[in-house]
Parts: sequence; structure tokens; C-alpha cells
Amino acid sequence: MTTIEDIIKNTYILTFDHEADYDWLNIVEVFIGSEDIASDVVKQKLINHAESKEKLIYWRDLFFMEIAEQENALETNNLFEKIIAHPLFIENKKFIEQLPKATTKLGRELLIDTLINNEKADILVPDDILEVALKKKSRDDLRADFAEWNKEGNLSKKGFNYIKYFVAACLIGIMATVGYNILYDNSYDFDGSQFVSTTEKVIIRGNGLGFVGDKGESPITTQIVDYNKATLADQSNSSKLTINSYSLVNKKLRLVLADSPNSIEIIEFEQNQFYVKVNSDFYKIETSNSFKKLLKLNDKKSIEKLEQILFENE
Amino acid sequence: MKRNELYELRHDKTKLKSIYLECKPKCFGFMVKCFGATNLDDTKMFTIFNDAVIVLYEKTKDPKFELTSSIQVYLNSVCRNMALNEFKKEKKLFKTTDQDLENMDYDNQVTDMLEEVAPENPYEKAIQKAFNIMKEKGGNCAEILAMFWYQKASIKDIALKFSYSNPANAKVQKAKCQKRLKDIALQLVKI
Repeated sequence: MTTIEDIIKNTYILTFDHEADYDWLNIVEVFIGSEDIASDVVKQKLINHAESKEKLIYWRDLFFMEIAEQENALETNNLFEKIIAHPLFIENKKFIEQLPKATTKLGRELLIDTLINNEKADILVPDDILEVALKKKSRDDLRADFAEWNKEGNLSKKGFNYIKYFVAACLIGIMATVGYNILYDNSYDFDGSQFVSTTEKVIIRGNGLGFVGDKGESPITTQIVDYNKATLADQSNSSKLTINSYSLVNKKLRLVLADSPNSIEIIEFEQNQFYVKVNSDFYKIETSNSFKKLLKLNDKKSIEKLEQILFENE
Repeated sequence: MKRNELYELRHDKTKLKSIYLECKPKCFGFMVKCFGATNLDDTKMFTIFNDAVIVLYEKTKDPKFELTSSIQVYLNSVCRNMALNEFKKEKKLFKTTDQDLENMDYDNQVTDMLEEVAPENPYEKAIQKAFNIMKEKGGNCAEILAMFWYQKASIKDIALKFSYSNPANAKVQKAKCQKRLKDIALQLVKI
């Protein structure tokens, strides 16, 4: 069973990022009874570190939120009774009670996004085929047709798979001969294209990395070409563009992506070490006049650090 | 068999996706057979089918829920209920004959439909708005909280999904996100 002491201790670590050994229950008493926790915690010498008032208030709020979330798992005693009568507990309990329902709309959207966004989406029968079939066939025959089409789809997929493996094998061979970091010549007119979206992005930097962000610094011009739209409109564009590639020169980042991303961020991790986050994936980028392949970052620790930088700068 | 399907769905996270893919064409076929393509266009069928899968997903979270038919028949039935509800909203009269109803793969005992989630009070509305603000700002906060509160995912699952090196870090992030959501919502309520 979780105790109040566990919660005050854990929320301390959540707030201050380090462990400590204090008289936790006395601190809880201050949280409940004091009107100025910052000075009372210091006066009573309840913590050793000189923490800012904001952080102490943040800690107290987090404590009441955790208590509200874990209320049913806590054992009841005098201290617990005092806590649940506190206005901050009541405020947080109200918030926690609303959360399951308030997250339903977004949860449903995300769930469907996950289900739709899959490589087998082509199992869906295209609209025009369905329409023609409906005109020609009786409704009862249609279900049998679906089964037939699926079978055909599976067979052609199998055939296609061999081709894919063959192409992949050839590519590996080429990569081994030529080298992995291939440069591409994207001769596409980025500035005159309707399929390019241009935005100005400020570089996001970590606060704790030892260098201070220059607030007067000019942002990076980011141009993203929607490959699918561009090639759909004009097939010849496929020879001018290499999907999932980038160039970075003179404060201009050009990206060739399959479609327009929902979000994009540029992060400077260490001096002159840049990353771009496209939707939820990170890619390392470096200055290059020619286009280079976007290589997805898979190192969990680096991803976590980059996410932290983004979180701190939100 | 039915119990097995439900058990798998409750315990295997990949099962919902395979059900979605397997049942989609059959549900579309069922709706066309039931109502005809002129009454329901593809977009409507798609929305109805997606909502039916959400109904199934949310029902599986309820331990009391039991399937009285196969998942395909259950989804067909929910699709049918929701399509009829749509017609009702649009004041469209839809007639069926006994012959039409023969051999239709649905269970008329199933009355489930998607529950509306319109906010009931200003605070709930503010939290939903706060979610939208978080989502627009980017980052993973909205998704982390939706995973925890809607999908009832564990901190371990969240750590895996967002590549945190350990569950403790995911827990820190979830707590910070939750606090931020509350702060934004409170500001919105004050406005």
C-alpha cells in the first residue's frame, strides 16, 4: 500500500531530480498548514538545499495531485484526513475526476490514427471499384467478391515481395560499393513550387548544455516539399526529387518528405550538432549543399535528451 | 470461440489492429447490403466503422462485457445501430422487409453505440481545450496522457512507446504533463 511518505518523497524527486532524506511527514504538515511554505520550510530547516519558492510551490502542487490520483490506494489516518480537507487537494481531485472523460475524445482520435496508419491499408477497396461493382453485381455476390479480391491481393503482394527483396539486395550491393552517405541532386524548383510549404523555425537549444541561446539570432527557413502531391501532379517530378532527403545551407533547410508533416522542430543538441524532429521521429542533420538521405535516430538515450530539450522549451 | 476472441483482444495489444483490418471490408459489405450504397457513401461508412471499433475497444475495458456473437457480427450490429441512428438524425425513413433481414450477419440483441463525450461542465470543457493547446504546441504530453487515462496503458508501456530509457523517466514526464495540463485548464476557466 502506498503511504503519504512515499508520495511526498517521490514528488520531491520528480521536482528536484535527486533523492534526499528528510523528515517527510513534517514537510507534509507544513504543506497543509502553512500560508508561506517557502519561508516555513527554510525556517524549520526541513530541507538542506536552497530551493526557489516556485519549485517548492510546484512540489506542493505535484504532491496534492499525486495524493488525489492515488487516494483510493492510501491508508487513512489523521494526516490523510487533514490532506483531503485542503483546498489544493479538492482542486486536484476535481481535475483528476475529469481526466478519464476529458481524454476520451483525444484518445479515440489517436486510437483510430494508429489503426488507420498501417502498411496494410491498401486492403481497403478503392471507391471506384466498389462503385462499378455495385452497379454490376447483386449485393449478395459482393461479399464473395471481397474474398476473391483479398486473395488476389495477397498473391500479387507475394509476387511483389520477391521483387522487393531483389531490389533491396541490389541496393545493399550498391550501398556497399558506393558508400552509405550518398548525395542526391534534387533539381526541383523549391522556391517556385505550390507543393512546398515554407516556414521560419527558431532553433531550440537545451538550457543545460553550457551555451546560451542568442535571442537575436535569425531563424532557419524551412522548406518542405510534399513528394506525393508533387509527383501526383507531375510524374516527372519523381526524377527531380529524392524522398526523405534534406539539404542545409545558409540558414535554409530543405526537406523532401512523403507528405506534409504535422509538426517540425529544429534542435541544436551540442554546438553545431543539429537534429530535426519530423512528427515524432528525430533525424540528425548536417550542413550540406547537396541533398542527403534523412537517417532516423534510433538511440533511445539521445531521443530522450532531445525530447527533454523540447519539453523544457515548450 | 467468442470468449477466446474477446480474451485475445483484452490481452494482445496487436489484436485490435488485425480485427480492424479483417473486419473492415466485411463491415463495409454488410452496410452496403443492409442500406445500399446510395444511402451511405464511403466516407460515412468509414466513420461509422471507425466508431464501431471504438465502441468495441471501450467495451473490452469493461470486465462485465461479454460477446454474444463473433467480433465480426458484433461490429456489424454496432455499425447497423449507428447507421440507423444517422438516418434518424437526418430524418430519413428506412424500410426493411423480412426478406431483407434474412441471412444478415448481425445480432439484434446488440444495442451498443458510441457514447457521446460532449463536456458536461466548464472545467471539463477547459481540460479538453487545454488538450488541444498542448497538441498544437507539439511534444508528447497529450499523447502520454491519453495513453494513460484513455487506453489505461501502464507507465512501462508509455516508456516503451516514447523510448524512455526507464519507466521512472516516463513517470516524471507523465506527472509534469499532467501538472501542465491542469495549469492550462485552470487559466482557461479563469478566462
